[in-house]
Amino acid sequence: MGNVIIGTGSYLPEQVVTNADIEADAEDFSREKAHGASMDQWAREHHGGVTRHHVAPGEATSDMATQAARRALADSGVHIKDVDLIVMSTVTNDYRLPQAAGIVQANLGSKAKFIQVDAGCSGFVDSLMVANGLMETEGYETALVIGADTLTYFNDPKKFMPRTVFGDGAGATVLHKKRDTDYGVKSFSTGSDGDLGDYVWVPGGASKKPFSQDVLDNGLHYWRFRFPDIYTWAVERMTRCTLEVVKKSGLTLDDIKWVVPHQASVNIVLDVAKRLELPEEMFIITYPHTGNLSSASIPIALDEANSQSKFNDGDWLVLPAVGAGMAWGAVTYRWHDYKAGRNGHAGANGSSGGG
Amino acid sequence: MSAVIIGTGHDLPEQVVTNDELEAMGVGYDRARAGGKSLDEWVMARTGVHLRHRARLGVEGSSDFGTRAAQKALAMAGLKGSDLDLIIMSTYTSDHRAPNSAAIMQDNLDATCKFLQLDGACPGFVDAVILADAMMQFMNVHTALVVSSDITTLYCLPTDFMMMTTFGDGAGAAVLRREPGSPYGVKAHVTGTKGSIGKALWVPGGGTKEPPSFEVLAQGRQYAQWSHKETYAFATEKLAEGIVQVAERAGWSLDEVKWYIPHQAGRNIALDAARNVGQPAEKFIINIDHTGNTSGASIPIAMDEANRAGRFADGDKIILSAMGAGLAWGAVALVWYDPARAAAEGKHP
Repeated sequence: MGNVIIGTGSYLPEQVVTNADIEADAEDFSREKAHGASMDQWAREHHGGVTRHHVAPGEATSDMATQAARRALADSGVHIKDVDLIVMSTVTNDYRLPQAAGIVQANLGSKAKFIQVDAGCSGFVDSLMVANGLMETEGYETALVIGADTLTYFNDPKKFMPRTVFGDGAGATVLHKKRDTDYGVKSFSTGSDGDLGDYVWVPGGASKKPFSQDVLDNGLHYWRFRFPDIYTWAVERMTRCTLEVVKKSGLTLDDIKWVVPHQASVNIVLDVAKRLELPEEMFIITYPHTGNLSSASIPIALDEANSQSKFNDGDWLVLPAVGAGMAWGAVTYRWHDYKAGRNGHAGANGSSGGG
Repeated sequence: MSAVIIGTGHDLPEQVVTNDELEAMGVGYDRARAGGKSLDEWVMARTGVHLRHRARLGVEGSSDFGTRAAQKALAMAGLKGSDLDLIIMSTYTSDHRAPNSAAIMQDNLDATCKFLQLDGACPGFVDAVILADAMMQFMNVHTALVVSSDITTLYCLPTDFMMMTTFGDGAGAAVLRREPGSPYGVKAHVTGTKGSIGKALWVPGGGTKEPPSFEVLAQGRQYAQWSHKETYAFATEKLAEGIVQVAERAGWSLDEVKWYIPHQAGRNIALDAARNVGQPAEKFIINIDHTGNTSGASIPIAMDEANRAGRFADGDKIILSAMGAGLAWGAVALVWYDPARAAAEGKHP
């Protein structure tokens, strides 16, 4: 097989926002309209959100990404000078230019080639695919693959729903090229539905409707969702790409130990579990305390589960993602217990049983 | 490396603005300080931009020009959108944060394939070609569309005559086919990035560090800021370095190279690079006089114009070399494929 994860890291900003915090200043929520439910009850029932993290003033995407990357590097034992590729996905660049990936490169003191993928919730799987493609065909050996987003940036303060769904955060993995190994990235199944582009829409603040006083006054720089359409599409697509990638890998669902999904909501993930007839316990779910983190969802979930030693050597994982575009993708991955294989040489030998 | 270009296209906005028109509008240019020279005289002696095309801001987005450029490239290749296996777009002026321009283009072209959008500026097309080449191989697919579309004028401060005269808007596209072992197509590439000097050419406001606000607008932070000296030096150095390094990787002597298609940052920059690498200026495709610097779109626009003017012959060794915001740079060495000529000589891609 191929490229193996030899380190994971994640970062959630310090400030935690509860449903009660949001209810305190929500303009469009009332307990009467919610049939007597509090915001907390409503959110837990409708999408599973309990808390989420917000960046501090002046803190932005590259700051979070840098922290996640540093933690992933520390976990891997790899020195930054040995990283030759940085692939990062975000829709919330620090500045229009340069790319946040470049700022991360500079922060880390790296000379690695950086490339930034402009993708939403499908972004981490997209970035993994880009990193793998470049590693397989262009000779890169060690990549930092990062998903980072400051999603609260798109939240209209007057709308309680997105404020309860979305959070800020970053996750990173260190990917290393291995030869003659049974571990690592196996297959991708990806695609796009551009005709459904208006499901997730930020009307203003970009080239079609540039940033102006009018955009500000009318809240055109906040996002709008077709939530019911998204829900149906997301469950269908996530189910489908999971099945496709498993089949493409020459496996069956019985071989899969863990599903680490992009988390648009707990309800979507649990519906997918039902469709696939897989037990909920197989799904790594962090949404209740992180919210929907777009590109950062999967790598953060991966890192949290990894830190809790959930993955055993040889476990098959599926990472499915669906998101804005609309776009989707899934990847199968055979977990390597890289820490057990270390003999003081970070990730170099991977000589645990079965490697 | 196995991607062969089988179709090119470009699209420029309808609205054209000349230097004289800019000077009349008032863009902060002072003739007295320029020894009495008109803006046009001053600019033609330097970047060489006589006129540029400008999108109708708030009406036209990057996907509009990208779609038309792509349609022309597909037509040349004899293909439809549904024939595509992959779309890779580079832009820093996406129509929206979501959906991105690549999504809108996929829909416009009736394509059903995977799209990826790279957030990048001037080196964007080279990055996208390198990525398309790699991804076609990795995904085991055969036909990719690469598009760069940039509305650079969006970020030009109206009172900065350097920005207002240098930049223009437009889109360029190429259809690539994977042909392993072909004598044609991409033969080598080099690429580099240096994020530590990223603020030499940046757009501070409107992102997550300086979110949209009245203050950002009042201070003009939504416009680009540009360190001219630093970027000029960087541009001439990297344009030349990319050429030399990619030729070496391809195993070519510079004398074998028929054409250089530089990112159109300025006529002066391209001529400086030509001198630096010891190659005749005539080999450099320079069309900036009527396009301005269109960021990532500049190379595919220049390539398409030259292609349709019949400048490229079957088997020509061509080097694309780009440098810009990031800061980043890259170059691609490719062998030109002319279907009619190749067929006549019994050659296949």
